[in-house]
Amino acid sequence: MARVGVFVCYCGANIADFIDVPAVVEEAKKIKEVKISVLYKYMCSDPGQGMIRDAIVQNRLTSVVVAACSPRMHEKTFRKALSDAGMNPYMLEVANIREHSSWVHQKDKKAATEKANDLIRMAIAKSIANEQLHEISVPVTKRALVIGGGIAGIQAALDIADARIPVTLVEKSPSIGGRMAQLDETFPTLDCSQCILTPKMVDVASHPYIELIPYSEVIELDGYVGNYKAKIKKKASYVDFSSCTGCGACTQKCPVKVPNEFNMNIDKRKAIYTPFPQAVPNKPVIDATHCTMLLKGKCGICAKVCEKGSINFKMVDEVIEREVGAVVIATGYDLWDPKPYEEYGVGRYKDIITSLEFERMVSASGPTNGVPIRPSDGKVPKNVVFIKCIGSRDEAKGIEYCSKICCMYTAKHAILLHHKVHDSHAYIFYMDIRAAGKGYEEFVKRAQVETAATYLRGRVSKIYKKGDKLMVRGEDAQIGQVVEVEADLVVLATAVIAPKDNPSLARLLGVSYDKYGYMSEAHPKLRPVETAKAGIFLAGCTQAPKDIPDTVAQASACAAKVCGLFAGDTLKKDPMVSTINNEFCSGCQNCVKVCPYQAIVTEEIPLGHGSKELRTVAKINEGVCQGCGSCVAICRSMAINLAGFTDPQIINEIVAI
Amino acid sequence: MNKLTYFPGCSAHGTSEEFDHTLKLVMKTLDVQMEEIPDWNCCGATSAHVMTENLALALPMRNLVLAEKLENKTMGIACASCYSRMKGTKKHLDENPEQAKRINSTVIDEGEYQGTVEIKSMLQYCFEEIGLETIKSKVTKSLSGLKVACYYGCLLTRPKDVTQFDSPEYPMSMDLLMEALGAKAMEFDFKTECCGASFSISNTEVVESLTGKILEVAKESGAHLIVVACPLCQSNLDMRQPDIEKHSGKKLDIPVMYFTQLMALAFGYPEKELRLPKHIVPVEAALKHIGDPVPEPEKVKKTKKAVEAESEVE
Amino acid sequence: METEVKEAQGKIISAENPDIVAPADWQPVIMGILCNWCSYAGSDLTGTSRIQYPPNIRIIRVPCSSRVDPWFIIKSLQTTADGVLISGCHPGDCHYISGNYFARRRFLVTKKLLNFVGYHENRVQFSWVSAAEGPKFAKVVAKVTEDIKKLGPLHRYKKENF
Repeated sequence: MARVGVFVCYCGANIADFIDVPAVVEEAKKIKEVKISVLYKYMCSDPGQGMIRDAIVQNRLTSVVVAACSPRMHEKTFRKALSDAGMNPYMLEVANIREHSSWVHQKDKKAATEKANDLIRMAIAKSIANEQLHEISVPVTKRALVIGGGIAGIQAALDIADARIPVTLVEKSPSIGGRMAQLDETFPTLDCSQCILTPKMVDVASHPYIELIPYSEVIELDGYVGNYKAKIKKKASYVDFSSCTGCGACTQKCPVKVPNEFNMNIDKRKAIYTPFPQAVPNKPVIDATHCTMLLKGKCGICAKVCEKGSINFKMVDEVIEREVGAVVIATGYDLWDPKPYEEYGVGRYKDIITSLEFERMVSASGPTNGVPIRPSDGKVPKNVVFIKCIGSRDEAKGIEYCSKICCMYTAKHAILLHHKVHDSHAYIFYMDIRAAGKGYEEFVKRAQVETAATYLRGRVSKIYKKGDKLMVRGEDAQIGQVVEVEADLVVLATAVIAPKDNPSLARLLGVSYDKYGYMSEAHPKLRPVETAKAGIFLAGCTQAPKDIPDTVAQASACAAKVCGLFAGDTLKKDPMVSTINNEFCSGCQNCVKVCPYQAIVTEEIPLGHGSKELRTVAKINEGVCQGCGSCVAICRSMAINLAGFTDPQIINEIVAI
Repeated sequence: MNKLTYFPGCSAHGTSEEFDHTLKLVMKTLDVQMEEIPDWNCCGATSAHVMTENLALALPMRNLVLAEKLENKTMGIACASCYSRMKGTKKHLDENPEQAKRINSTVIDEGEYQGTVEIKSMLQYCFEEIGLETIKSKVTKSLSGLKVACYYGCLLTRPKDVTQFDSPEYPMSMDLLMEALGAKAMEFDFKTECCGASFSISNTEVVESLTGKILEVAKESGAHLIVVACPLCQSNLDMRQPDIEKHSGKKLDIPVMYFTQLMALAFGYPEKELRLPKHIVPVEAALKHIGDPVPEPEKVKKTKKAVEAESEVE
Repeated sequence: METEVKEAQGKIISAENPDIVAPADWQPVIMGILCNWCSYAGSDLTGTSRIQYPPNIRIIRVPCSSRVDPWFIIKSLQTTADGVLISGCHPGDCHYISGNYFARRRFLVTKKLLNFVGYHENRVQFSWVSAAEGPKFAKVVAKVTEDIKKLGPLHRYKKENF
């Protein structure tokens, strides 16, 4: 026989003014399971909780009903009180007589009191069907997987590893460093990108808690928070990294020249190459799509010059597995191809380049040794036109959003141009200048004043050739006229876009992505680092365009989240999850279909006791289950129940009035 | 023999008679039988759609209804403006069947609109239906030595949703057609720039500045003449030159021809069939360049080398 | 089936059974089943905003509208309630990704069934109320209460009548 205690709260005047609380207390006493029914001014206060604790012990209560404010407010408080009295905390039910009665029926005390009576009756009835529940402990594998080795992935990996948590960092290209390694100087301080990045890259390589797996990709992820299993494909590099010293003899002697993607194809690299001199790891890989040995079986010079014998043309892709508890996605960004801008002659005029191409040119270690040139004739340009918002904020040709970083890097380019070519002049066509950030507006001012860059507000409508110059025709909206600028070089600030592999990666990781291909965060404001899938986090431009400080901040936030997740030996989880009664399960698998978290799988069990024949039943992974109850409602044989919201509990509530 | 429903438009029977005439010659050579839509009417051009939407739709719609009665279901249109109106109307009617029904029943007595006719500009027809290979095979007198700038105007490829033909900003179909005839199509940035045709009468200053720019850039490209596919483009570019020269003081003197005139020439028709006296800027001098020695294409060689260098062993 | 709503001489006649008549001041009981994340939070907001609504509704909290078994609806109508209101997150806003879509489809079918066996279609109503829509919740409850009052008491299929 259940023994229920009812505790009704005045909530000062909040409840007492509109509900006849003593009458409610008396009404509850009429129910035979109710052993004690009392009232108090503030049930949530310490004495109020003490009252509950004492009553539990004295009356040997089996469940408790608190009639007070919304359970969303104080359910946890009262559960704690139960627990302190040695009672299972889930034997509590809260009757919401404040938000649902006293506050909304202030003009009708009788009706409000009746309603409160009913709500308490429902809570009592439900509590009688309550079951003892226990927090679920999920074991945790304390290793993090970081996907992407740009500045976001590097920062996240370093921060996690510094907390002495092992990290596996997977990078798809031969070296970590990402886009930031391609940059010359960074806004708004103009410090050299390589100088601040390469020490971090070296730290990654030498960190005892970081396992760096370059030239590889994640191809599968199974499991759930704390217990993921990742399959990683290590692409064949044809170079044995363990014996290779990185001497570079092979890359020097290789006769095959290939456009160098690190330098935006401005110069050539070899078929066996390290992407850039400061690469980490500083070991070459063979580009199988261009190596004549791999394609036609001719050459093999690299193998001949390698003193260590590290070249292995027979190497194949290898798949390795890692068990991890959390995943950080840091796949970075791509740049939009400006081809649709046909009116600019993109693709026809060599002297129209993208910002990243310009960035490589002005980089001291770049293909032109830090001097911008015209690709058509190699001359140093004097008049350079920069056009912003190429593809960004352009629904017709590109994408709707603002790429966030172009205003700043274009200002930087104007300054750098002035540094490299003193008698040059920069013209910048812009729609708006968006310079929100610490020191950003000042930096743009510097470009405008110090560098005397001409900022023209308006769109460029056409670029055409006149002799060896490019005539840039656009609108100067501030004087309301069409202007034409004679340019030696045109630089397009192309939009930041999500990497094209993001959607496929998102699908294999089981996280969602938006219409542009960016990974979706769990909440745009309050959970910008987590994905909707527990244990998977986002760092950097994989979520949305960002500058370096924002990226680093988000990466560190990821590390904090991972460390928090790994703080205990197990993960604690609410026990409100679904359970299956195998006796009733007919194996229809409707629950498998409706589960939004893929928490339900099937298993084979003996048909009867000791039987050799098997039948299929559903099996719920309580680590993954979030407790929505979709499966309970769909189950035809009523084999599933959701702890805390079982059918008997709810039916009891319905019939209690 | 291919059949083609032909909508000449009013210009073809007047100012662009040379277009109409040479088009017919060319089609004869290409074995296409042209059938002019009987009792066709004005497409509404630039005037109707600024007056009322229904009128602007009803005028081309009647032509479409008439064309549907013919056996052949492909319609070729000589004038770019007519083409734009006709194709735009068809798209609108197909997307708004209610309105189509209403207009049909109120003002068009010739029959019910079905939407079964496919509309192409004559350039599009040559490029897509006949094909460059066939055209090349009919060339008896190559135009090699002649440098041309192909001008498409604003309506032939735009708006993209309506025309569904070639690039709206930098089309190449006419360029390729000219190359098939043996001529050299120059790189010409102003091939789709507005010539100001709508202001032809009301604001000639605007037209002169816009047209002047186009002519200037065409001249700078090194072309001997401009090739067009639209009567309005032709008249604007050709007729305005004396005025523009007078006002700007710059010598232009660049003839403007229809692509069909050059096709006819390449197909072996005598010059007198081209109706050259109708041109305001004389054409004859430009045509003398046909047969000029063509310098070895150095550029091609260079790029070939570059291509080799990219993937081959040094 | 749509049964006509009848009123006679200040008394309320049950829409399903004309033999059952209630006095004009009769008050229906409405069972409200709300999802925890949107509608329950919305109803709490109605409270904290002190927006008044008719006191006829009795609220049951479930994690998600997809947890609502049609059985709950039928059981309510059979035993205690004269009407049922189910409310969840707006389509696309489900806390559990897609639960409210399942709920929406399930309710359409349930409603057809109830209609078929003779319940007036307004007996069971569904709505989407977000956690920010306190005023909307009050409006929804007022409307549902008004509708059910018109329909009169529900007796015909209640167990005690068999």
